[in-house]
Amino acid sequence: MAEVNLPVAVLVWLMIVPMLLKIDLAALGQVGHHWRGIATTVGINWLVKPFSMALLGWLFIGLLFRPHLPAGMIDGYMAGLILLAAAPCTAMVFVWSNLVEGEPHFTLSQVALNDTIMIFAFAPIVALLLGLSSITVPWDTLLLSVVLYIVVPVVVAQLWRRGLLAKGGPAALGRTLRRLAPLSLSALLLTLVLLFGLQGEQILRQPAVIAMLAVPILIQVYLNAGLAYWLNRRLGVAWCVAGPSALIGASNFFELAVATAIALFGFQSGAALATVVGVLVEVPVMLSVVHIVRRSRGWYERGAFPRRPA
Amino acid sequence: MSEAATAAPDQAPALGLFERYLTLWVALCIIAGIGLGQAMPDLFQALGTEQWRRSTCRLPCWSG
Repeated sequence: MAEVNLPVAVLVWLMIVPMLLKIDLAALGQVGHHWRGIATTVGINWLVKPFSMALLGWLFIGLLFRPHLPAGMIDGYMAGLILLAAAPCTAMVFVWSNLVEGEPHFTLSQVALNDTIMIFAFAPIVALLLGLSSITVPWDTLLLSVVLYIVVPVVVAQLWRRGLLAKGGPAALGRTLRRLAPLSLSALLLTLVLLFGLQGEQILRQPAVIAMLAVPILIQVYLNAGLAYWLNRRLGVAWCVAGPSALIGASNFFELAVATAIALFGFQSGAALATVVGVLVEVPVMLSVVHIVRRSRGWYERGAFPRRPA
Repeated sequence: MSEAATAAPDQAPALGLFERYLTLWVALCIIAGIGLGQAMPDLFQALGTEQWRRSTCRLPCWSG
C-alpha cells in the first residue's frame, strides 16, 4: 500500500498552492482556446516521450555505457528509464508552470487530461516497451497522488481564493500570492535537501552508475521540452501556454514509475535505481528548463505568430 | 484591482533573487542534503526510510 510521507506532502502543497490560487473555475471553460497547445502537449507526452526514452536508454545504457555498467543490471536500468518516461507529471508541473508565468487554467486542464489518458495508456505503453504481456499498475499510488496532489489542493485553494476575494477582493489575493511566493520557493529548496538526504547514499555508493543513468534522462528532458516549445512556436501558441506545455511535455511521473519498478522488479532492482535517478535529477533539470523558457521569451514571441496574429 | 492585475510581476523580487543565484542554491541544497543524510541518518530515516521498507516506497509521497 502506498503511504503518505507527510513532510514531503506538506512541502508539495506549499509549492503548488500559489498556482492553484490563480485558478478561476469560471475561466476553465475557455481553455479550449488553447487547443493547439493541448494537442502539442498530448502528442509529446504520449506519442514521443515514452519512445524517445526507450531509444535513448537503449543507445546509452544498452550500447555506449554497457562496458562500464554491471552486466546483470543493464536490462533493469533500461526498464526503469522506460517506466520513468511512460507517464507525465501530476503535481510538480504546477510549480514549474507558475515559475514560467504559465497560464494556470491551461496547466490544470492539461494535467487533468493527462491523468485521464494515463488510466488507459500507461499499462499498454509499458507492456509494449518492456515486452511484457501484462504489467501490474499500482493503482493505489496513482489514485493517492491524484487525490493528494490535485483534488485536495484544488478544493482547498478554491475555498481559500473565495475567502480572500470575499474579504479583500483582488488586492487581498495579490497580497497572499506575494507572501506565498518566497515560502513556495523555500519549500522547493527544502524538498531538494530532503530528496538528496533520502537518496544521497546511492550517489556516494555508486556515483558512476548514477551519473551514467542521468545522461539519457537529461537528454530526454531537454529533447522533449525543446520539441514541445518549438512546435508550440511553429503553431503560434501563446508563450504563457508554450512554457507549461514544454515543461509538462518533458516531465515524468515519479511515484508511479518508482512504485511500478518496485512492484515489477523489486526494491534492489536496477529498474528501481534508474527511477530514483529520475527523482534526483528532476528539480535541477526542470529549474534549468524554467530558466531557458523565461530567457527565451523574446525569441519565442518574435516567431510565434507567423500566420495568425493573436 | 491594480494589485490583482500585477500579481505575477509582484513575485518578481523573490524570484529575482532566487533566480540570480539559482545554480548556487540548487548546488548547496544538493550538497546539504547528501551531507545531512550522512550526518543524521536517523532524522531522514524518520522522514522516509521507514516507508521504503514497509510500503511501496519512500518516494510515492513525492510527486513528479
